[in-house]
Amino acid sequence: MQIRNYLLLLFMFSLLTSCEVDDDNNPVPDNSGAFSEGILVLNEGLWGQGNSSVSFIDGATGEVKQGIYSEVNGSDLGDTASDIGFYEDLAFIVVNVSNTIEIVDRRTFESVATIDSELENPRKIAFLMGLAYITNWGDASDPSDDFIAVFDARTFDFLDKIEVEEGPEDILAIGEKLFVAHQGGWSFNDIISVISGDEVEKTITVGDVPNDLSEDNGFLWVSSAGLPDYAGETAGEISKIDLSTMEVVKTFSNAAATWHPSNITVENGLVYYTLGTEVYSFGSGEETLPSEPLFNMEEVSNLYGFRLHEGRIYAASASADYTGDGKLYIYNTASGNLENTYDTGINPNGIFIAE
Amino acid sequence: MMKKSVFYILFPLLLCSFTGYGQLDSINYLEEVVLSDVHLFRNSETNTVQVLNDSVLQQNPPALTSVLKFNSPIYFRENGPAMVASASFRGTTASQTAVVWNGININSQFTGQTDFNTILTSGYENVAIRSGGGSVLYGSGAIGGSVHLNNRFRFSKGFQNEIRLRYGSFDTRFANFDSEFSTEKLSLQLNVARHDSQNDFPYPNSEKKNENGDFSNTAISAAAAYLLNHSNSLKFYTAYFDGERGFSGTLTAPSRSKYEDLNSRNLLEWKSYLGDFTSTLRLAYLEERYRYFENRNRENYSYGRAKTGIVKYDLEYDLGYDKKLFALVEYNTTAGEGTNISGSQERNTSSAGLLFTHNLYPLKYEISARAEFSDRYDSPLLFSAGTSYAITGNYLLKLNISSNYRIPTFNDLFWHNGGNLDLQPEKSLQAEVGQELQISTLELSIVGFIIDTEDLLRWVPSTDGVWRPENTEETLNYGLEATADWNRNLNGHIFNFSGTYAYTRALDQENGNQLIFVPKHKATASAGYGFGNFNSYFQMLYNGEVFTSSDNRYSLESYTVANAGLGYDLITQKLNLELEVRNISNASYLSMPSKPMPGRSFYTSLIFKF
Repeated sequence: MQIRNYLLLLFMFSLLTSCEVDDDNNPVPDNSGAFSEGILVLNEGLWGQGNSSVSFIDGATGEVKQGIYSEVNGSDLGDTASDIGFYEDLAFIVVNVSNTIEIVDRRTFESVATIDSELENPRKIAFLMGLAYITNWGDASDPSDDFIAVFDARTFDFLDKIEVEEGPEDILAIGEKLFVAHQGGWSFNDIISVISGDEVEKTITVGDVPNDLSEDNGFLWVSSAGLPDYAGETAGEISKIDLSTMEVVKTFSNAAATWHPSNITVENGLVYYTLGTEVYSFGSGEETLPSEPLFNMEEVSNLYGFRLHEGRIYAASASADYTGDGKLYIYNTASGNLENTYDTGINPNGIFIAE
Repeated sequence: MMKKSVFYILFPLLLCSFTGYGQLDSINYLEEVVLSDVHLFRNSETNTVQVLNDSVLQQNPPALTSVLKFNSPIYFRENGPAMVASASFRGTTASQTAVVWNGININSQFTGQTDFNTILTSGYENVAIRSGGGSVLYGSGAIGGSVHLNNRFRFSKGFQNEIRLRYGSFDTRFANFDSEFSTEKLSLQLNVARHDSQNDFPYPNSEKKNENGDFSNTAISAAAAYLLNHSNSLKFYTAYFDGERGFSGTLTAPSRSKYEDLNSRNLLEWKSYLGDFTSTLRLAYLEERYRYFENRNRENYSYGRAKTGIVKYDLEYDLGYDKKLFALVEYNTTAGEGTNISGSQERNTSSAGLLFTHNLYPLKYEISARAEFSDRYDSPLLFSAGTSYAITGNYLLKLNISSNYRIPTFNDLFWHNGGNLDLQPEKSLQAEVGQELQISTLELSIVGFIIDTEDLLRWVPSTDGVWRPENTEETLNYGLEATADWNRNLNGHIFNFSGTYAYTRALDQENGNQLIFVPKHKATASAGYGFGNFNSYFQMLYNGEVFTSSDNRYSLESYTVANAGLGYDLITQKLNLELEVRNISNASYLSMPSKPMPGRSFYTSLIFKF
């Protein structure tokens, strides 16, 4: 997401202004075991304030429980949580600024273990063949120390550190390989790293600032935002990569430099992406991009988290000035109708379906 | 510093700022020579000015934050002890309090704010707090009020020195050397202070401690005044601060970052008396530099550097004994560069103002206006009008209305990632009504205020996710401030008490929510007792709940902290021993989310005078 800009800003602001804290005002969730079916929302909170949290929306009752991690475990989740990954019965919560991974039982959210070493600015997580792979920026101001940390997903032992190019963010396991989108950390990058075993076997150049990956039927789809205006604004790209050859077979773009797609997701043969709060889609075999959006997520003021799952779009919106609670809006993908609205914690950046 | 002589000079001034009349003319000459910021007392009589003198400064060493936190209505947002601290005065933002050094506004060109932990009070004779708008006199940022750091000269006092050594919890060390030399015509001052600490206090109720919070800093200041003849004087001030500190971690996140400050300020002043005219020319040169290391073990850093030159000319004209006219002209040029600033940037502003005061005892009024011209934005025309009326000799009513502004900072304008050149200054219109009452040695003051601010500068995310400053919000602040001071000498037993209370509402006009980090209630109280060679004090602070989110769903709890100290003259007027306990009750509190403050701590000081 906009984390890079956000961090820069926050650094500046942390010099004198600021933002916020954790609270005790959330409704008390009932006892554990209740998180097996529904929607989990990861709230990153505010940088430096240690108020990351997880909200749970019960799939059966629609009841929202805030701060389930701290409620169950009696301790804070940490500072700026950036991702949740699921492996067998476990959920791995990556906490970026705390440099930790909190591992919990995915159904009860009871803490199982904490990984607090061999991480430096961890961002996103993926699993492949019993191993957990976590993208790390390293020292954010150092372009040459970025890596993927590899842990055993059952014993949580550290196994390996795979050095990669600057700014690894999104990571996706497909088959026996891992695909890493290099947004660029505090800078900008334009590649996808293909990792096999403990090696980067190939890098594929895509548009500037690749922000999301989605796999469909032998192809990897990548949305790249392009450069923002302060860096000499360029239009983004949507790249289609053939997984058998690891080559970009199709590139979609737009003449307008202000065209910055993100959140690419392929479902049922349709490729979805967003431009601001507008949702677009086209058939995965089509040659041109749609000129009109499918619909606009009008209610969303600051799109901060996005998931498309089984015909629904889950859009998380941060509060107007990013200091207060956000909202989760659920839209019907076909009709664009808003089906539900829920409160979340502060700055919801990820939505995960528990099932 | 030398308490008694200060008192003789300060006391008449205090009296005069309190009642606003009387001996003003008789002390004019002295006042203008000893103090550069003459407007602070002379043209602030319809505002409230609270002066914290030497003895109060010494109870809260060494940085300005602690002094003001425990003795004024100003609220501080602190990232931990010795970390970045910003002020909120009357509920305004951190860049709406001007810090004025000997009459010169020294807020950062990058942030528009002053980090109150980068100013050591040991180099100053007193710190004055002027509530309410002061942009006509002090320029940008004097919206909530202004904090004044004053040096003051003495003459014919010979050679006086003081050394102060302080040591205490968390390996905190402070050493201060003060030296003064004066003849009839020449007055020299030198202050050297060094402060460092591991600052690794355990977090109360936690296994963790404050990591990476170590700091060390050095402050050097010097001042010289020379009376050329009966109608001309020259003064020079210089101040230098060099600080390095780790930005400490939090309860939930480690830190390894480091921040370095290097600030220097120089001021030359030439004052002449020409019949009914008093002319003052000031030349100032300020430099600020910072370096931020995200990882202190590496060489990579980001930096910023700004240089400011100021020429200021004041002409005062006495239109008879009861009327005065002042004309002010100022030119200010700033050049800034840095990692986060696009290129090397410059800003030039010039301004002109007129002030008129008329004393028709028991009524007095002041009217002033200021116009500014800048190459970067359109400045509003500023005005201020105030009146005071002495209902009785002990009871004074004050009324003041002013318009004030805050200009966009270098970061706002030139931040490489989002800077906005189309910004306009923040503008505020404000009014206050005050009453001051003196009953024997008890002085009471109560002031109600209202501030309407528009075009507030806020960094907001744009549609492409980049944060940019914009003139957005409108806020409405109102509230009241009360202060009480009392002292009594009963057969050599000296008692004193002072207290402040502030009730502050600061509302986002769009939704009526209280702005973040503005406590509704803040109160301070301090009491002292001394007899012979013995003295003692007790002080406490109540800080009300502050919201940390604009939806007012999250907050930091209120807290009360108390400190106490004992002093004893081992050798009268020569050697003094002081003991301090801070946070006596070992209260556990947060000044920022996830940032606990220290529990109980102890300090010992030895003071040598020679």
